[in-house]
Amino acid sequence: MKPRFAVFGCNPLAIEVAWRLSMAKTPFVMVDSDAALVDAANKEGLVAELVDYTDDEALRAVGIGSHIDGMFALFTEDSENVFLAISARAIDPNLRIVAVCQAPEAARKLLAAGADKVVDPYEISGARVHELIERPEVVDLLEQTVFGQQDLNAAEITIPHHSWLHGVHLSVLRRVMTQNLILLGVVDLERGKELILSTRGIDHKLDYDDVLVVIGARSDIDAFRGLIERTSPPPDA
Amino acid sequence: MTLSATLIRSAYRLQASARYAGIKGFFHKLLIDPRSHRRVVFDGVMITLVLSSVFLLIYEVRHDVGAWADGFEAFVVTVFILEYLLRMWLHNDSHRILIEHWERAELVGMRFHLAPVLWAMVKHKLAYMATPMAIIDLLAILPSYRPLRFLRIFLLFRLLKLFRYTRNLSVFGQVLVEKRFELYTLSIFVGSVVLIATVAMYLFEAEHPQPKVVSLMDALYWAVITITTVGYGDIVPQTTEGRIVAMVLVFAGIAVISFATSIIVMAFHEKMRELHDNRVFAEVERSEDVTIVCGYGRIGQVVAKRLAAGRDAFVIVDRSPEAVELARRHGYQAVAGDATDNTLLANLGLGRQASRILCLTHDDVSNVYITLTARQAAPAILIISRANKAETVRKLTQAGANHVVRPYEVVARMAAEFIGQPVAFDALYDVVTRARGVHLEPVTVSPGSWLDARRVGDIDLAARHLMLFGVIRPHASPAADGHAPYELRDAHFYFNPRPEFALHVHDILMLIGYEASLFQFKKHVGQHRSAWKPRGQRG
Repeated sequence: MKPRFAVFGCNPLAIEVAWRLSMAKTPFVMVDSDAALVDAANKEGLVAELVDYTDDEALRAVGIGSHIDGMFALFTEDSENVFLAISARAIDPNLRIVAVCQAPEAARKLLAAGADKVVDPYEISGARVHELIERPEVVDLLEQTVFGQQDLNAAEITIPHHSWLHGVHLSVLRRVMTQNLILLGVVDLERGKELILSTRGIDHKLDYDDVLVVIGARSDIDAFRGLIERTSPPPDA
Repeated sequence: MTLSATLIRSAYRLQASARYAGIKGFFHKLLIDPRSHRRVVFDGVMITLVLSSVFLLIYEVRHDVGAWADGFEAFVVTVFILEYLLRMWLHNDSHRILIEHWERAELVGMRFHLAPVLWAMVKHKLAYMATPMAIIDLLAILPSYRPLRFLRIFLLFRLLKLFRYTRNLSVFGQVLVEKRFELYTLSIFVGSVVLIATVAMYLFEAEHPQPKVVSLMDALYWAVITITTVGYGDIVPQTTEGRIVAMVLVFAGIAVISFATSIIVMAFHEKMRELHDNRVFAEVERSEDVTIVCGYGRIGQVVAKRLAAGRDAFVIVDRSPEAVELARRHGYQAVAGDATDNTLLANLGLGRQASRILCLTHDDVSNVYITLTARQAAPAILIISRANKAETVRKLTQAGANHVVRPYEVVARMAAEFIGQPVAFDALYDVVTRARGVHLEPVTVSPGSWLDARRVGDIDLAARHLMLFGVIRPHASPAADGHAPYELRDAHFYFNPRPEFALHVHDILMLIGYEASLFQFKKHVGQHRSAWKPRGQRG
């Protein structure tokens, strides 16, 4: 099975991401241009390769443009990440790129370079510390459920082209669904990335390619996915 | 026997009297306590009195002010005398000395003599009277006594009293005291140079046919005017020898002035930090529910920004002066220092005004050490620490941290979640961070509240545009039937409960909705603000 994800960088942060991916049993490749860091990662028990990321051919060899769907640009230098994002975006317009930034002003540059998501480690950690002061119960709850090891997950389900939901109102779907799920809302990607909360007054008319965001146990989510993918409406709709 | 017995008995009575202690405490707060609000008012009144009495003195010189001025002067002097006596009284507890001596005599079985005790008591009061501030106070009073009217000029000493009431002015005095060695050296140098110049000038100039310098006093006056680089020019050397002395003296003068300036500037510079820190401590003293942020790196900056936005009181501690400088430029309260220093933490009100401490330095060793120090100093506070390495998490928990945040872990989780399901993750993240007006908000069921014993289905959340994410029920409450809860550390979590789920006191509803809807709902159930406080005790 060919890996679908690539981790660029072998620094402590990258190793952390790599462990998380291996815990989720997601196959990935890990590369860096610094031999010492590659060695360090290998010693940690991860499989890392020495690759010169400035060379487009080397990137293709890793699998960018072919079997790689998503990549993490985790170098400690913002300039390296920008270069990597530009090179990778040029090879594969559909690649999903997540990058970290060190300086806050690098975030905009990374987005301009083609990253889909920029994570500022300091911003996120600072925000978490503040959340822990302000609302520890919320952080604790999510930490231990949705973000933790328990079987409560957030999932996104894209409405396929053949689905019966095309043109159906959100309220109808809510009436029909029997699973123990929370339908958080819909993101209409044609209109933007903002979540339309399902409790809002507007009864959104669903469309194919809309993304439903749900929270629940894995089995319920799978059952719900089945409901969405039906071509004909269920009997009680 | 009778006199000492009476005295000892009254001393013990004073010792036991709550009223006496109360009165003394009141005056202590009024006159001495640097943190009291009353003292600020008192100081203000005294400054006004001093300035107006001196103004009156000046005005009197050319104008006739009549009888009320005498009345005012009498009033001012009365206040000053009262203040002087009160301060002397507050200086120490004389009855303690008496008791101490008596008990010591009892213990050793010696005869108790009253005279040495009285002398000890007087000695303490005399020691107070000899302090510079007390002398100034006395000088401000004495000239008002008629027979000492010639001392009227000393009424201006009242202006010196201002030192007492304004803390920044007294720093000036402290600076001079601290640099006394340097100033002493300088004055010896100046003294000898002036002496030599005076004598030389007199010797050379006085013999000149048209002498400008007639006496030693003239020579001294000239030398002082020259060495201070003032140089009026009313007395000038006539002879070549005298001019050479003048030239040498001018250079010496420049050296003296620059040396003196540098001493004083340096001293103030050193004092500046302390002054600033004192201001921060005073500010903290006045606030409530303060957060101490240790480390002003990137994470510290983010937290500070958020705390400032939420109008929460906080103070930053960082070892590096540059970071503190930066924090001050950002407009935050900051002190340079080591957060493992117990005195510093105490000054920042740890365990009193400061109810939580955040250890956010980039060094794990420091974070563990700060955590441990803070936990030992204040067992009940909330400690949130940063761990850079995974193995530090356990050490921090052991040291007493309530929560540990590991930046790499947080980022790794975000990155991994995002790459799997970017839309869901962004949506959820926005809810958690309240980035787009959608909040996940806890609402506690308080005893007797509208929510108490109500079934979830009867709340009609949909009409209120709210979504029930779930209910947290403490382990102490009975479990609900027919629901499989998720286990939290000290509670069950019922995810998406069915309509028949009945609420209990102390349950926490986790509601998702827009800010306005949540506000309306909280108003409806009589809970304007979240009743939740960060848990102080260790989890």
